Amino acid sequence: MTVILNLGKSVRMLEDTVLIWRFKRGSREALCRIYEKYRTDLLRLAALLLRDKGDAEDVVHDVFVSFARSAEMLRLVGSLKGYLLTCVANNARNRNRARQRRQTVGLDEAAELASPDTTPDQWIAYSEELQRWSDALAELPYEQREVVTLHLRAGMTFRRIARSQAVSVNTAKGRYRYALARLRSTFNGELEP
Amino acid sequence: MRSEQDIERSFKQANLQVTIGAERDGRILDELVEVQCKSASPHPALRPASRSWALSLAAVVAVVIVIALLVSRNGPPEPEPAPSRPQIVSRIELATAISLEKAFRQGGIEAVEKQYKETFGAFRADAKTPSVDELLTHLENEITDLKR
Repeated sequence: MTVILNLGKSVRMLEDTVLIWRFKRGSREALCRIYEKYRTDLLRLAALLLRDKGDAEDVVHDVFVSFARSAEMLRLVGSLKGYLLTCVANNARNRNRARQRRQTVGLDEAAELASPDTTPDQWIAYSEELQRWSDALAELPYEQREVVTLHLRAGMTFRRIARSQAVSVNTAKGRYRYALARLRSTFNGELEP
Repeated sequence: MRSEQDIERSFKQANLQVTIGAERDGRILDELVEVQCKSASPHPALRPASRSWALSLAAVVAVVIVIALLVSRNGPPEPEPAPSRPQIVSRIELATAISLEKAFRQGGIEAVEKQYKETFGAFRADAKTPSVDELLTHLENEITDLKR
């Protein structure tokens, strides 16, 4: 079973290597394939990191636009999926900071009134389960939400998460423990009569 | 009461689905293709970085062809006191190397890639499977064409 899983992973990575090679030489098909292959994963991650659906869509859109623009400069060391997920996490963090700044000057509420949560031109719709987790995670401080999501849903190590958050590994692990404890109390509270 | 391990496991394994609206999805894809076209340089395949890679590939292909030709012209090597005989390169390997080298000379890396696709496409399940005799006849014709 492990052999089959490893083989599948190797095939995926090989396909990504070919896709990147073609994409860097201007292949339109390669870009389309990369988009179709990873957009759902990226949207799911953005949906968990950002409560606002519009923000999640914008983050993934911006990541793909930057990616399409950077074909010639792209120097990929790890996996393509890992690279794109990291881009989404970084972009979501920046957007969250910008949102916090807007809240301090009182512009956020006005913006929310101007852009309702559901629009006819919607890119994504969440399943009930995704909405439930998104709501629960939104109760956490952003750093905790990010650690628990990146570790459990994007498969990132604590070392890598700590580096992206510019904190020590122990701090990242501490945030993870706090996040789990709070999620536990949230869900247990839901279950109580 | 759910433990933290339960929370951890259920979040990790949760089936979190997103449904994607086709109309906007198509528009975003069009936009990405447009961005890609605008930011691409006119001849990316001729950049120095690609050229060095292509030269390395050409060198490897050339070495393979020289070895293959030497083996096929001289016939099997003289028997040596060593117990094992060197393996003779098969006609298929030789023809594959020649066709790839020819493709590279004519059209560069893209032509090699195309040649690969055509070669491997012939072995797909939906294609008509040729017999060994047909393959050998085809390859002999290819080699004769190349020698002219």
